[in-house]
Amino acid sequence: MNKTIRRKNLLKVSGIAVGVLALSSTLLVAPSQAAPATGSPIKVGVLTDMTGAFAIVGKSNKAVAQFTIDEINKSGGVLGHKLVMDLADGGSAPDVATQAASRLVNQDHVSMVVGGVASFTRVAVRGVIATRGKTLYVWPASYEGNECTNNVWNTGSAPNQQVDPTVKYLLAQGKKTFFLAGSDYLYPRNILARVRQDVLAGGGSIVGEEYVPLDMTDASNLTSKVVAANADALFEVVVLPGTAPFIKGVVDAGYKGTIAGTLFDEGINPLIGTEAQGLIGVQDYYGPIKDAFSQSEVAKFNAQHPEAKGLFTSTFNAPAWYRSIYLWKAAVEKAGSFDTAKVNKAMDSVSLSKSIGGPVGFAPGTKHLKLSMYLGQSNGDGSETVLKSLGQISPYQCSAATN
Amino acid sequence: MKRRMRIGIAVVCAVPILSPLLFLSGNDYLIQAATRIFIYGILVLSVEMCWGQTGIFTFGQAAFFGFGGYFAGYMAKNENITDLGVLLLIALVAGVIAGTLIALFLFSGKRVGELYVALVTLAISYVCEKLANSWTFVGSGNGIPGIPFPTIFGKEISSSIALFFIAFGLFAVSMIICILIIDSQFGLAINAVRDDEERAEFFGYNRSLIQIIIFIFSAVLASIAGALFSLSEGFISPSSLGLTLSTSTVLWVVLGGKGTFYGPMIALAILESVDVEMQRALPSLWRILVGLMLLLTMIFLPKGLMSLGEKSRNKREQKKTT
Amino acid sequence: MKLLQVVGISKNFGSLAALKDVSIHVESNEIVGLIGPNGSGKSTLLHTICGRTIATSGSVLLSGKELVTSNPMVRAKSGMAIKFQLARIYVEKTVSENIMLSLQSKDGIWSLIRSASSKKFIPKIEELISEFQLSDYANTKAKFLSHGQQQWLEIAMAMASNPSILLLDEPTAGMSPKERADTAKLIKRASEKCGVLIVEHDLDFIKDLCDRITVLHYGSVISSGTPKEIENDPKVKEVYLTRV
Repeated sequence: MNKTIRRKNLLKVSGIAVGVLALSSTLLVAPSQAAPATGSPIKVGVLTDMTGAFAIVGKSNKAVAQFTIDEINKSGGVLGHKLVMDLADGGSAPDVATQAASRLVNQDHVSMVVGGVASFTRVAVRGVIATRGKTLYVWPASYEGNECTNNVWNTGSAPNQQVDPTVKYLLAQGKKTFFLAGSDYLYPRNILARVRQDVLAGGGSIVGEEYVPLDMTDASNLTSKVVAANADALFEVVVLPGTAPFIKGVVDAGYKGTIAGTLFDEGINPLIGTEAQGLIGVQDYYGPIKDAFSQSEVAKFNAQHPEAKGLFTSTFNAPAWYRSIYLWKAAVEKAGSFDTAKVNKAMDSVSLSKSIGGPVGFAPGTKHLKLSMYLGQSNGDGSETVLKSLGQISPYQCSAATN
Repeated sequence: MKRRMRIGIAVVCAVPILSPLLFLSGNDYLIQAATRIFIYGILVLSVEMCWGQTGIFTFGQAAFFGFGGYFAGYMAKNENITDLGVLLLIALVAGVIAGTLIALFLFSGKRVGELYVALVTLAISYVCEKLANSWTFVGSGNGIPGIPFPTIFGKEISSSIALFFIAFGLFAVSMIICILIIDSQFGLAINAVRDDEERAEFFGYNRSLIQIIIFIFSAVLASIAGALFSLSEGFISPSSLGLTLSTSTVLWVVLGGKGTFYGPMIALAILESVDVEMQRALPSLWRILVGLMLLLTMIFLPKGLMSLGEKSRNKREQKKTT
Repeated sequence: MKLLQVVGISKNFGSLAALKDVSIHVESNEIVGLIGPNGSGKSTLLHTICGRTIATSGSVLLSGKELVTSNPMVRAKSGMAIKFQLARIYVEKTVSENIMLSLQSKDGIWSLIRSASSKKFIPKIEELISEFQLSDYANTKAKFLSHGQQQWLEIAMAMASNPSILLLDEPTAGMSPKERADTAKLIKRASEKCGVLIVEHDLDFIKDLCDRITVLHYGSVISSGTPKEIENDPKVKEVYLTRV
């Protein structure tokens, strides 16, 4: 009696174990993809953060990707293939993002992956996608530089493209002393290192450099340091949520110098409010740039998204997302194939004569773009005034492959 | 042989028999997902041993997970130590050191409350995440990317299937060790500490030493799991030390039923399997649903999903006695 | 040398003096009763003996060893065993496991980890559960036992550790008369192996059982002697008559 009960238990338990495993696999299994047949749709992996801290950026990224893919499909697709968007949520966390990236590459067998919002996502997924996954990865964000991994292509601005012209402008305005402030992580530190280099080379001096925790919301301590130093210019890379309280605090405390940074545009200015008046920065796109192509494309985009004003902004990487997919298209057409190795080779020298923000193209050997950049000044109502069109600026060089 | 051990052996045998089905699909993503479930499985085991079996409410177990991950990842990437055995040993030592320091702080003195332990461990996990986030030596916010694959006898282990079996093997060994502990005389003692630690002292048990041993043991398990994570995923980042992973682990344990041994692991396997697909199907709803499930479980099934089975077993037992 | 010698124990909770210079002793194979109305301090005294609370001053000697500031673990290892007023057994464990928990408690932790087999304990477990009328429930979880059976299980657990002194806090609370009589027999038998100190507020139950009785009132000993002497002591009568 006792024995039969035991055996029953064992059976039941093995049943449960098998069931769990089977369930796990059936829920995960999706038909795997073979090499593309003629005319069959091509999957474009779109990796962005639809949930978590960067969900607001993810919303813009997804919309821009869909807009771009639709546009390409309308004009005949790529090498006769239609594109379909394969969206994966990075969850604003690197471990979620790697899993999502693995699904795109290993299960859905996408042709390429574009995406990532924060640098920690890029460094986490590039192994899964580009190195182990041998799939092309386009990183469409303005970032801290130094990304030179094979199969990875940077379509956002590198530090020098934003910083050099900004500092040059400030020095030309007669600013001699600079105060540097940023959030305490890689991006601000690298940007401010470039600022320091440019300022000292241009004969200016640094009177203070401060870093604050990423999640700082009470800026009073930093504000008083900035005001006390009374530098001619403040270069700041304090990221959200600290940006608005910091700038408001500095302006309201009566700081008379010029405030410059890498993160001001129509997306961020409204958060700062009227204190945004006079902020200086350089971006690859502003709403009012005098470029007919950009104007008509963004108008089309906005017409499709009437509900969300300000979805297409440079700080959400919208122009970079747009050109990423077009640059990849150009490389595929140049290579005449979707094969990663061939496309990777072709990427090195592709360019677009028309793109949102102006003409762009890879500077061969750098893995970064020659970008059309603009000097902008923020207005109190959140809009931007373009002070100067800077033309195409070369990226910094990828010195050596890093991982 | 006790029931728990029979199930354990059944699972250990079933996986290698069934896993070829997984490999035949040729889908690396699925294999990697299963690998991750086994790695997190070791982490869940460590919390089950601590909280479920000994009553030590460790809410910050990810701190040890990340600690092991960072140590192994750093050594593999920057010191060119890629031998899997050596790296796991490094993680083991790191786990022992970190576990001992915290265990001595928590348990060497008077009895402390469950909530106190939870808050201290949670705080440690939080602080570790913050620290890793701002410390350039370990890559600050970006963590350590590009960690090379481990090697065994100088041979690189890079195939998903090999990594799957390494993760499964370590999981199986950890699980069997945990079962042996629970079914031993010592297991009876740790349960006694869980159910009534003061009473255990009155029987002459060294409550503090028992808690310290189990805490260190579970820190080592978590640390080894973390090392395995960083080696198989090729990166480790501050989020692997922090609150999100710590609370996910507690969530799996609560949903499955703490103290039921297999419950937490079943909850992990189910939730992790469907997580990516559900996230895709219901992007804004899924997390809320998980939260809701947790809430409902805590209200209606405070001992987790496994307690459903337990209830009927208890009824049978009661019938037998009356 | 006396087995358990409690000398001049005082215990203050803030400004409240719960115990004032209380002395009591127990010899081997002797059953000593400690009675007094609620709030007389008898539970507090038991707690200072077993280590649940630490006495403000005084001395607790077990076979000559000073334990007054020791923690419960040290006292247990020195030969004390206690049964609490509300049975504190492990309800989720079986009767055998409960007994085993007590049997193995004196083994060092390292030997517990090493030894997977509990076979050596089986004869002792069987002996104890039959002595405490629990043989039919060896593999039943303790939570399914009746109230009285749970009390016996706890006494059995206390005896399993082979104590030199057994402390019992109201062992018959909530029991039926039949169970009380059985319990008395069990205690009597236990006293063949060790000294027993029983805390009760029911004088009738322990006057037949105890060799000597000490009466506490407002934290002080008001009387001490054989059950007969206690029964006839006018001070005790006064306390009990006015109280009950």
